[in-house]
Amino acid sequence: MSGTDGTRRSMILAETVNGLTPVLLAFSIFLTFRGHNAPGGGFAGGLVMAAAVILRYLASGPEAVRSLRIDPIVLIGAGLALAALVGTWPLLDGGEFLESSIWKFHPPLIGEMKLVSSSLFDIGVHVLVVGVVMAVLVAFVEADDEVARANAAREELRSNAGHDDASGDPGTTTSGGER
Amino acid sequence: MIPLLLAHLVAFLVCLAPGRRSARWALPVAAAVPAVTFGWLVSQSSSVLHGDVPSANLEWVPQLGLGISLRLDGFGLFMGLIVSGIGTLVMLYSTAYFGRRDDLGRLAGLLVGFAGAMLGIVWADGLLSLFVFWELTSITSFLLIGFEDRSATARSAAQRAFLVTGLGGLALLAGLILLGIQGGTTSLSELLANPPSGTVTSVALVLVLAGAFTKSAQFPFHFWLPGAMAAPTPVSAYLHSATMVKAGLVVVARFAPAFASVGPWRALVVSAGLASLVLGGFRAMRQQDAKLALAHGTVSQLGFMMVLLGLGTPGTTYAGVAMLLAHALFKATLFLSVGVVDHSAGTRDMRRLQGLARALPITAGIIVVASASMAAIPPTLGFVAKEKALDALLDTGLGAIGTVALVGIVAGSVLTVAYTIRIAVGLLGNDAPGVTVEDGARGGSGTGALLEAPVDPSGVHAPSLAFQGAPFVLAALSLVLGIAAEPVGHWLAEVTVSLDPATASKALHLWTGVNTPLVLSAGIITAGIASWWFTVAATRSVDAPYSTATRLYDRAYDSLLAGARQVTAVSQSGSLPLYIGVVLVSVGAALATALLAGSTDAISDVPWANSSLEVPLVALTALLALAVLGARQRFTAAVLLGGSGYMLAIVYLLQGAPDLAITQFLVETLTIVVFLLALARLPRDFHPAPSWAPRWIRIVVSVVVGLTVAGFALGTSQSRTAESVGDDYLALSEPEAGGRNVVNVILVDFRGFDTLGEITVLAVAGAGVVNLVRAARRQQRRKQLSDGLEVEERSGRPSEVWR
Amino acid sequence: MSFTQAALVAVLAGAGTYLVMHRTLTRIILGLGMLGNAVNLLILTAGSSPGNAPIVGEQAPVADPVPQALVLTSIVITFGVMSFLLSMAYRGWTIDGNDEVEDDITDRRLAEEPGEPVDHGEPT
Repeated sequence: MSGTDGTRRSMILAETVNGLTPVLLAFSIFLTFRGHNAPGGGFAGGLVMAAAVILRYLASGPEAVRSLRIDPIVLIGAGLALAALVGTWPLLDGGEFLESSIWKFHPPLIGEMKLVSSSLFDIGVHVLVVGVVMAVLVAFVEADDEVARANAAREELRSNAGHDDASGDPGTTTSGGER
Repeated sequence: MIPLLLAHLVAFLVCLAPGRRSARWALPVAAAVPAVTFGWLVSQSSSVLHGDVPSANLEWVPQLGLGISLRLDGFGLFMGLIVSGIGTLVMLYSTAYFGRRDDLGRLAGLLVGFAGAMLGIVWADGLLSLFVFWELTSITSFLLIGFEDRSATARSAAQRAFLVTGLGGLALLAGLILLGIQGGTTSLSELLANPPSGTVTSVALVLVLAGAFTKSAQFPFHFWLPGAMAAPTPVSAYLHSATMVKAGLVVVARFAPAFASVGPWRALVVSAGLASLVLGGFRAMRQQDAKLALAHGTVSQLGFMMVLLGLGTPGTTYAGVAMLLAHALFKATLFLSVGVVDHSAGTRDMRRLQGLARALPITAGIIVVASASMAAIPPTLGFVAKEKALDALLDTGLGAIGTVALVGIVAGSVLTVAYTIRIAVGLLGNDAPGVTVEDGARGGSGTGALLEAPVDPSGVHAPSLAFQGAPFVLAALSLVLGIAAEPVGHWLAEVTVSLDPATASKALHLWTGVNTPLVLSAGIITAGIASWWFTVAATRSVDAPYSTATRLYDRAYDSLLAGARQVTAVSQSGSLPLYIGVVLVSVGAALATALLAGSTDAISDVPWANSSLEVPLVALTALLALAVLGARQRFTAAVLLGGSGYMLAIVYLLQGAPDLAITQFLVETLTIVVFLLALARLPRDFHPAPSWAPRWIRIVVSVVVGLTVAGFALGTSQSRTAESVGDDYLALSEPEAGGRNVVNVILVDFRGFDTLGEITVLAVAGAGVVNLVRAARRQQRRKQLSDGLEVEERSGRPSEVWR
Repeated sequence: MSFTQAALVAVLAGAGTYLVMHRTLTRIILGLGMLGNAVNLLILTAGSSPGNAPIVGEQAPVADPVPQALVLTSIVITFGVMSFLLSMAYRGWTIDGNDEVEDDITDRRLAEEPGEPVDHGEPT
């Protein structure tokens, strides 16, 4: 387990995860859509996608999460809004809250395709679950950053003040991962 | 009627709007609303008195009969005229009384708000409306008694009054609800037209009377009223003599014709009324503050009217309504006049007032007229009403209880005459002794030294005519209505018909010839004068003792607070594990009770296991779970919990729940990762923290909770009586929602609203995590920017953070 | 529901109870997870008999889908709550240096303080 303190990271793990990520993302979307007819669904799909994000974090460190440039709160809000909108939509049509609409298409080659409005609801659930897990992840990343910043500030103050006895800081060089 | 009540509400809000800023316009504006109400009532009076009863309804929950429902009958008209008429006069008087003050907006708002609530009480037809307006008057009364909010006396008195009348209000509510259920209606008029009877009704009536007694300051709840004199004098005149304290009487007057013969009604009203009459009279003899003496007199007079209205015979009801009018007129007059005296002479202490008859001739005349009405001396309205009351009591046809009421009222009336003379002489008399130290409980050990000298009459400044206008009008009415007894009596008969049709033939007379009531009256007045004469010296130096009832109340209040503190100390120990333990034990106890109460026969059908795979799987899951308890290291414990969760996923799969298995598997994985993230920084081993309870107690609690929960689960699984909706969902899933996985269809379609709620919970948890982080970051930044020194200080002991 | 399943519910609920009565926040969170598992299992097994997955087209007997739908969201919510508590425990630790739930000192002090006497004002 590594923090921001630069302990070694497995290159092999990082490469494996890089290769695995698209597979996991595709699988998570597959799970969500298939959920209407077979085991799966938005909760499961969202958890798989979240697992992919966490795997990247474990393999490549906080940069992997930061480089996504997504605020988890936006994901949470978007997911909740999508689910609520899907629920409200039938009201405009004179239907009931969360009433399902079924659209059938006949695209060439594939034959009949069916789209159910509640699949959109599941997508909302999916996005929200990803957001929640990412929020937790970001919380820990931020907390690590905070500790690092505090250390840096402390070091700076100490060097400015000319303290050179190290009696007070046996812990600053210790990595959390070694506990 | 509803627009009028709304006008009161609007005026209330408008007057409160300026807050602490000066609002001299507030009182005149507030006075306009009851004035308009008075005018409207006058315009309605002829049609109302001829039986045309306007009503108004604002529905809220019609299924339960809840809403605001009003009805203007004769008695409502009569009380409405008193409330709005005296309200207008009091508010005009207040402009002179208060002069320049910054909080007049608040005063005016509360007064007009009270007037609206009081009108609601007298017009209410719905039982709920009655209660709501009743409590509104309690609240406005509380705020007005505590108007001088810097004074501990006023705050304490306001709280006392509110608690007593508020608790009474709750009793009234309970009584009204019971009556509503018994009578099968929520309308007061329908209830009174077809009164229910029986034990429940008797209980309900006792509760209603408890409410009425608290509001009308009847023994043993009388003590809040003298305390309420901490309010400014116009407030006392309006709320605590003319109107609010009549609310209990209004309810009794409406109920008595229908319910007086049910259960203990008559015994209660007569005993409480007579006790208040006599006790109030004695107390009034011992006060030196004229306002307090009047307050005790009010308790006494309210007791008198309680007996009359509560007996419920046509004669006493009629006389009681006449007394209501007479009392409202003379008591408001006397309070307002005491306010004038207080303003002019600077004191209400009757030991210091002297020579005011000459210094304030108009006020003196007003006081004499109002006192005459109070003491029932002809030709005032008080005399006419008292004659009628004695006449009715002589002929109640109720046997012993009527006789007791008559004797009690004659005795109380002697006291009334005595204290009336005492107050009038105390206010206006020529020779005041001054307050000496040895009189006072507040004094020291001096012997007869003069503490406060009598007021010098030459220094008393005459009040403005506007100041005296309101008491003048009211006093004049006491006199004029007494002289015009015949038409007034005719009008009152039309009013009281709405209470009891049998009062239609009643009448008032100023002169009835020499008959028993007149002889009794003469005797009462003679005995009253004699009582005053023989006690004048003794009562001159007594100081008002701290009322026993108040002392008992205060002691009860103090011990309530002390008890609450002890309960809090025991129940709020501050230990989270203890709280959790208590919650879990309660859950266990509740489940065990349900189990013991239910039948256990069905459990014999339960199989040992559903499949051969189940037993080893469950054993492994349980072992992993138990291993968590023994784990010394955080990480080990988390991994063991995860292992137990993975096993549980397989249990779900065996049960036929692949969706759950997938979700459980993913969640366990993510949980372990999150634990990993958190635990990487936390100490490796659990710290052996001091425990709140010995280990064996915790083990016993855990075993008991585990067994009861499992027993409950078994019992529940065998208790199904209806078919599950699951079958319908299975059948409808594909045609209605176009999906074959029923679990998912339930989540996103059939019970989609539930899922929406559940993902909202998730969203809140996620947002909570994010904000936790952001708050910490802001804090950190602020600290770095502004408080470099503290960072340095903390850096001296980094080992605490990096242990 | 079978006795075996009931026994598992008993073990999970008992172990969860034991854990939440500790002072260490980590143990409390573990205990909450355990209690969550116990209740989820209870709802699922008490609410339906075992059977095939509730998917249209499966052969009878089919398990009741309703308790499954209830438990599914419950699992995810338990996860959300546990994550929230863990990040709180972590924050608390960076501030205090431990993850123990101390007794509330304010409660103790309130219990020991004598009450202030009430001012009833002047007698009336």
